[in-house]
Amino acid sequence: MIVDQYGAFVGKRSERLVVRQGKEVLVEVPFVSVEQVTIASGGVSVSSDAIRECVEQGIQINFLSGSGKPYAKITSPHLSGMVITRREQLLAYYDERGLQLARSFVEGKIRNQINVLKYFAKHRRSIDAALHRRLYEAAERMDAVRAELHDLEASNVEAIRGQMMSIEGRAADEYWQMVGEVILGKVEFVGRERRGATDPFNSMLNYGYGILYQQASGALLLAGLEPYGGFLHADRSGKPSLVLDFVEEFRAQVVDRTIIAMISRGFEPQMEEGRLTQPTRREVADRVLERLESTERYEGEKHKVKTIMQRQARHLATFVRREGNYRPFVATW
Amino acid sequence: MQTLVIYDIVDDRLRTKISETCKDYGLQRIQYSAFFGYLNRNRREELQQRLKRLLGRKEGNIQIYPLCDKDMALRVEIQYKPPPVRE
Repeated sequence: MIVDQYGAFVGKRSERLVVRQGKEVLVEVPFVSVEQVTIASGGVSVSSDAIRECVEQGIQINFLSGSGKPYAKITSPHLSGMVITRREQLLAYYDERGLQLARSFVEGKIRNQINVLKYFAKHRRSIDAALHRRLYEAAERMDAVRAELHDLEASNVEAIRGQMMSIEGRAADEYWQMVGEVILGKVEFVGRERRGATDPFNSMLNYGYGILYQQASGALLLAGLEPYGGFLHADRSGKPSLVLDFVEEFRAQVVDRTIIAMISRGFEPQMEEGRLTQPTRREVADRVLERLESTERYEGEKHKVKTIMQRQARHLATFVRREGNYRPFVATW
Repeated sequence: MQTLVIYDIVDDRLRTKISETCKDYGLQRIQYSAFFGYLNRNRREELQQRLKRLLGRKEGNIQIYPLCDKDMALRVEIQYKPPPVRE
């Protein structure tokens, strides 16, 4: 559930979560059918009863700023019960497990980026053969860059982080170049801007990633992992590096694909004072959440993307405990 | 399964409690004392236990009907809304 109305009140009535604006009830949903609550506007108040019920039901409450940047999260203090997982996760950083994970994340990221390009190429085969060809050529070059991942040899992540970042960066350059061609003429896009973007396309991506981070951090917490102990992304206080690592294999498929599709279908994002307007943000959030509900092939079956994410988080936990394998999730085109 | 809950309860406070419980289970009000919505077997039985406990030894009657898709397809609604009265 997303609460994005300024001045809204989130409370509890009987066993339902109620969102009110003044005296008017906006939504009323039984707690059992809520998965997460995301507060995406200023001026919202949340009652302690609602918080307590959410936490007891395992519902995470997220707070997002206007640009989609998470700034607070409410979860149960008892959720970090599985100590072995966390201990092993932090130790994994220093040995081959961390290396293998970092490699998996980059591998997953690039392969999904390639598949997103192929996904958009599919519809352009007949209408724009030249673009179709260029997309496939870029995909091939990216795949060659990706292959370099397997030539890297080291005993831990730290030793080859620079090289991995370089591989990731070169693939990303090709990728965003082609994304620019796919949406050419629809919206202005001069290149990927991570932070403080003021153009609509980058702002939409950043907002979408914000929602993805929430979903990912919820999945990691539920799997008993520590969101702040990453492998690929260096530790820095206040930076949930494992969340950033973990979303790499989902970014392109969940957010990029959704937003590129919105733009190519003629969606016109609105901005004011360098930020997306509230209706535009709502639309982005709805589309991204819809994508999380859609199904993809995974482990021989069809699953919702958000279920796949939860499963991947659990695989990650079993992997650091040396009880199983970790393979990146790669969606098809 | 789609489920229909209808009730006849004399006591006002108890009636409100019953309707609140129906809402807690995600059911929608379709008439003054009728709720409708999707419940799986577990949830339906849970609701049944709760309503039973709520009613206790007070006067009243509550009926819970699970409805299969086949029967749902035969559902009809007859409605007439009188036009607004002109002054």
